[in-house]
Amino acid sequence: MKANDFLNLMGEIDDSLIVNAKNASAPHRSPAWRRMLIIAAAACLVVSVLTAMIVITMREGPGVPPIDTETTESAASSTENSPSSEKETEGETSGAPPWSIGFDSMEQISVFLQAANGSAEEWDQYLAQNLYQMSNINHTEAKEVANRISGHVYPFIKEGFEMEGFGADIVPSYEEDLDVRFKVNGSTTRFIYYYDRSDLWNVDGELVIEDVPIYNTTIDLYYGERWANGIRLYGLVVIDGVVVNVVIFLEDGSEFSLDHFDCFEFRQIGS
Amino acid sequence: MDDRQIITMYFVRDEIALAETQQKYGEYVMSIAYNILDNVQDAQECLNDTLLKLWNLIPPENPKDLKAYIAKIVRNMAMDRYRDRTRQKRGSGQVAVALSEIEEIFPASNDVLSEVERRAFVAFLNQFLQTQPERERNVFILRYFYMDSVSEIAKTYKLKESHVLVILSRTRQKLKKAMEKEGYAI
Repeated sequence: MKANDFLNLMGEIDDSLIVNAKNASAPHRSPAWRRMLIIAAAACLVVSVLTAMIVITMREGPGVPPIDTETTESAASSTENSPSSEKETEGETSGAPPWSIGFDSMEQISVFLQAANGSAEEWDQYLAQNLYQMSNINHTEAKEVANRISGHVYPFIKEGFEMEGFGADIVPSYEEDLDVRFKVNGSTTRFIYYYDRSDLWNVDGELVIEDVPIYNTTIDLYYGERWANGIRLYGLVVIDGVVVNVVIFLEDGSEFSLDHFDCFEFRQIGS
Repeated sequence: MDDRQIITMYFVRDEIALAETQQKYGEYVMSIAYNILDNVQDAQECLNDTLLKLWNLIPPENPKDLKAYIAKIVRNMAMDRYRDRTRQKRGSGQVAVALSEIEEIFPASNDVLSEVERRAFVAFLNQFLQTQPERERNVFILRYFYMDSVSEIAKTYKLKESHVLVILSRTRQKLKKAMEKEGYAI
């Protein structure tokens, strides 16, 4: 069959497909409760991250307990057993990038939170309470979400990664696509990973990683877009049960564009 | 005037049917024709020819969905006109670009499809499209049926153009895999 034949045969597809395509408009919004859940997580996350950054920047000297590298290394190596990677058996796993880390439990996280504003437990409770209040999930689920967010984000905070600013791109589909941009280790290179449940693609339409294991629950919880007081969360990319990208955006209401895009920079613990 | 009333006027050979069709679907027809022919005058001629063809086809044809029926007529007509115009060389406009995209999964081939093969493939294509997520399906159809440009599709869905390109690329790859699974030679 030639390409020409295909185009001709496209002219014979079902009438309903033809009409529906033209009647379609902008993508549907994700269910309200999920958006509430995400924005609650986003609000708490941004506030906590900013607070931690300020505290870390201001504190100096021996008062700040050193990061327990042993705990860190054991945490990084124990991601196979972490709750967020419990679905690893569902599919093949690819090697995690060197800058991806994870934690097994809140106890490990608490080591890092001592120097920050509030304890791990306090932060966890605060986030869980907010999630519970703003969404349609129960206490147990809220706690679970808070635990996952805490476990994934705080290592970056404690490592002192620098936030160079925020940016965003349009998030097209709640169920399937996750549009994420990031730069790593000071590089100005930008990537857009269009991400479905099996493959990771880049902006040029090239397949980057095939059969990436996607943990739907995690993606569902962390993904979405919502305006609330200038905060927009675009999601966390989780590969092999570990967060490899954290993308959070602050926006003053102006439209996003490539020129205004920045993201988190994060470094491997200990490097 | 609703479509049933327009069709009834065709049946009773009331020429107002043509005026009503043009008023209701004139822009729709022009946009499809222009996407393919990239020329206003050719698109206008296509519109006129489409109205004439409708007059000749209805009756006995009694389309269930007049809009889709008209879309198919004008698309086929415009594609025929495009082929006549370009013949051996690649033309301009969206058809040329769409062809180059589709050639990623359909390398040059001299195979000619029989009528049975054509019908089977259309049935396969319908099923494939039905299994795609709504947005991906519609983007694919807007591109390869309506020949909308990538920028138009991006505006419709409030996406970046690069994202539309990736959606199309992914769907083409999925189509290719589905065709290989069904035993279509690629």
